[in-house]
Amino acid sequence: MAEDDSPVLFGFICPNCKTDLGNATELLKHYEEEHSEEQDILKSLKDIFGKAKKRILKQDENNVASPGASSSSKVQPVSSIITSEAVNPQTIGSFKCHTDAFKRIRNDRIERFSAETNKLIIRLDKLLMGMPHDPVKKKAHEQAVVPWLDGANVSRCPECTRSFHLARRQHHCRLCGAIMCHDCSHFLNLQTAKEILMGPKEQELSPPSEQELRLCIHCYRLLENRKLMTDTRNCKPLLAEYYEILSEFHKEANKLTQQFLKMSESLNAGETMYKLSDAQTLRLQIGKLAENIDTTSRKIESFGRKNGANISELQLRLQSAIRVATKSYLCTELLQLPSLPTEEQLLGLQEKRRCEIEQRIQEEKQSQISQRTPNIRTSVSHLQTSKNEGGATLEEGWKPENAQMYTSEDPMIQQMNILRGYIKQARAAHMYDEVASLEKNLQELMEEYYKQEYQKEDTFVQENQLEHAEHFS
Amino acid sequence: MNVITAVKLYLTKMTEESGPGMKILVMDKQTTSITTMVYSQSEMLQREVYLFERLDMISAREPMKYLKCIAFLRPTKENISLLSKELRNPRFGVYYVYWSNIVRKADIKTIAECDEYESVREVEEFYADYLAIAPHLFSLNIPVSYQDLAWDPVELLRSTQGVTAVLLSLKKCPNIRYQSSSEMCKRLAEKVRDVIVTEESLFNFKQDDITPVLLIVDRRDDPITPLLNQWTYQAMVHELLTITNNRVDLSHVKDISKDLREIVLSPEHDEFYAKNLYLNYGEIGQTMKQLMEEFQRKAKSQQKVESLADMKNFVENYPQFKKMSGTVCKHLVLVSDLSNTVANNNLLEVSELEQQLACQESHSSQLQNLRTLLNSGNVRHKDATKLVMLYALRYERHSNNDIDGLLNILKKNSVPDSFIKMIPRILKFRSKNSRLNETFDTQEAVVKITKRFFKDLKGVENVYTQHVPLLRETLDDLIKGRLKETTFPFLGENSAQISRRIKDVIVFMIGGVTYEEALAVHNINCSHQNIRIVLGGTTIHNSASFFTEVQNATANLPTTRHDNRRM
Repeated sequence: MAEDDSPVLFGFICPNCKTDLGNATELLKHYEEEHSEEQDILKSLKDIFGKAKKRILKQDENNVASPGASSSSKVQPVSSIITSEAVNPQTIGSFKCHTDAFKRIRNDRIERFSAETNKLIIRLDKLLMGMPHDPVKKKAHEQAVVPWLDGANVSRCPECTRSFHLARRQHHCRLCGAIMCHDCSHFLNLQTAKEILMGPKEQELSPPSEQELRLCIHCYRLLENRKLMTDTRNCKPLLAEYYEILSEFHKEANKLTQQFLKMSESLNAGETMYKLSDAQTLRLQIGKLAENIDTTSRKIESFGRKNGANISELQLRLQSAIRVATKSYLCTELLQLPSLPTEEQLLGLQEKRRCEIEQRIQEEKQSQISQRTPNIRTSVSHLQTSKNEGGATLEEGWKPENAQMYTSEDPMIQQMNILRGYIKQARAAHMYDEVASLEKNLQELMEEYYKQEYQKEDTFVQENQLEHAEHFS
Repeated sequence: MNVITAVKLYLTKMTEESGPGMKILVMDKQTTSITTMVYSQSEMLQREVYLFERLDMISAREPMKYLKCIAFLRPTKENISLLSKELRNPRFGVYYVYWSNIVRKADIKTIAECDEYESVREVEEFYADYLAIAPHLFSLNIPVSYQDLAWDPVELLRSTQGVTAVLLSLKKCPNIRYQSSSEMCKRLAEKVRDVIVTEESLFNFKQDDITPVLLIVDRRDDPITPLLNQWTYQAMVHELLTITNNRVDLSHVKDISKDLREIVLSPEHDEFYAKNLYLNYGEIGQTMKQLMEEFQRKAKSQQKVESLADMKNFVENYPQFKKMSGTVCKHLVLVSDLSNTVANNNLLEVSELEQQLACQESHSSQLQNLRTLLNSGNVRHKDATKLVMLYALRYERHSNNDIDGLLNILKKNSVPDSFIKMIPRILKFRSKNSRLNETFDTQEAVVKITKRFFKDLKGVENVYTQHVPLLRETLDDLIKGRLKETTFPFLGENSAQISRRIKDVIVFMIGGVTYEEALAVHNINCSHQNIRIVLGGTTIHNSASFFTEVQNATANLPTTRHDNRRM
């Protein structure tokens, strides 16, 4: 049906520019680089390869290039194209960020204040350094650090505009040297001044000293603001601390439940990847965590309820909201975990699954029987043997007999024993995924080991036979 | 093209950007409704948002520095000044500020200069500036858009912001088509285009090859739909009980329990409602029965707790059971209240006549029926008024019409004056060259009427749901590429170059949409795989809110009898 003059192309050809890329990974890469704007096609391509990969990439990279392999992925990709179009999740709408512009404007403004504040801090530091107790010397020291404004021409207080006279004398701000009346002065306790300089020291709660610094309103405000900012940065009320503990528990619980869900699903499907007892201990642990979460949130809720008084209505609302959220979290997430099968059920499930797998293998064998019968048969037997061995190792695990095996000279056996040790550690740390992957490694090692043993025997037999033959000749 | 998802994604991002920790969400009146439409409080609690506060109703001033504040606000003058005030004296540790629409540079500057404590971490525009009611339906909660049948300037601005926010949140840069007979449609279309032009960089999306369409229509083209009694679940609840921001007030029901006084009807959080909101009254009865049976079965199994296994089952299923019993109670109360209203007010008979008036052509028999029904005296004043309004809209130009006679009957039945005035008002309200009039005048109409005639012969499936809103016809024409450019011109563009293919459509109706139209759009979306339509309006009307709209729209216009007759 194709037209005569256009040759029909085979292989891994880019649908857009018709270049042949040789193999699937190359094509995907090419597509991502060259045609990234056609997202949908890319997605469907990815889907195809994703699905196909699972089946194919277990074999060698070289195998992927052969057209036979890709055609074995059957109808699946077609359906995956359809679903990828139908699902096509909506992404977040557009948005615009003003943060940078905002910060630029803010910094311009803040800089004026902060330069001023910094100047004050430096002066304050100088003032406090070696301040003499003698009032006369003290005054000289203060004036040495900050030159005072000449009061001769100032007849009124710049703040309240009332005139100075005998009863209303001129005073100087110790930080900027400006003039004001006594009523307009503010006083900074020396203890607080030290705190501003050094940061708050909770351990030595020395009583506020008698001495004070006279400041004008402007300098006082700047210092006050700075103190407020550092205070809020450093202070952490009890509620916040408890909340942190609570969120730690939450995080832990989320991790464990995820793990548990995976395990219970696998167990309920009859797989042998995880051990039932592991899942049970995990479940217990989650239960314990749930209890911890419950008590912590209760504690948070009860803060200040008894003695009340100085806790705001908003904070009380916050506390009860945390409690409500925790309750519903416990109900929906932690108390509704799926149940685990019992020991007998588990055996039944595993048996069922084994049968299913065998059946599927049989079917596949049937369908491919013409092509590579011998190949598959060996792989099937491999699978079966490895299953049995896997089960056995799982049961035996790290029993004391292994100690004897440890002395074995064979590096492979040593390796296996080391692996068993790791598995034990991982299990203790509740890293069941590691356990599973380690066990898989162990299994492979054992397979290899038995294969070698088998070959040894084989060669041994062959040698024997040869010897016999020699004898005969 | 799902507006609920669009708003949800924005809100999710807000709660995520601030990282872990206790959070407070500060909103204004409108963003509060926007948020509650898509997220329930318990879902927000799971995202560590524990407190909610209105910026204009701050309860306490003491600092809670360990809280992170997410401020989600509309960029109004009031909000800008309130936020500046808050930042000068910040109560919370850090602030993440999200504007629901495009904000002026000068306002950003004002706020930046107030933030002396450097407590603001983020300032962003997230275009969730509309109420997402269903995946394909949004509203702007503007109860009255008209002022003397023209735009109220405040609402024109709000509508422009709402429509552009929808476009931005769905990432669509559309061709704009508007109803040429309406000056208001044209104004809005131009305003939206102005925003698209000035904010060019924002509207620079990677789009499909088929450009989306923004279609702007005017309620005045079809004043009939909001007057009809509805028989699908959602529309019926809205018509008879009024849904406000997904909430229904049931406090009028006798002996109602405390937690059912106000119920939430959100398809996002109520599975039963989501499944049944488009079913009609009869079907609702059926599914209600099924739900009850299932519930009773479950209740029975819950009761027998004998063995340990039962106990375990009980504990595991109890939360679901409790949820289900809540759903059952809620819908049972709702449906029984609806059926009471229907029975007590003779609504079936009223609705049948309404549908006849809206869809069929037989003046004398309809007038006869109308007179009998009105004289029978067991029709609510409101329904009587609506029937006469429908009659007047339909037969205004009929040579033998008897609007005056019907008005007299209404007066005799002591229908309040404000209702009687609605009849001349609705005639004023209906646009002069409404396509509904066309239906009865032009040649084309003959085809339509014969079509209807054949439909009548075949027998109508359901006498209460014959009416098809005008919007459905408009959209069908649009999809088939038959929508005339004289009635719906493109704004500004050279229309010859524009492709006729249709994929994504956003329809905005000035003067409000109805749930009947929402259902019609839903049906189109279901039957056309490649077409996605999102419908929106200044508000979602039922007949009561439509009365208010019409009243306000024609408040200052002369509505003398003489005037009415001449028209």
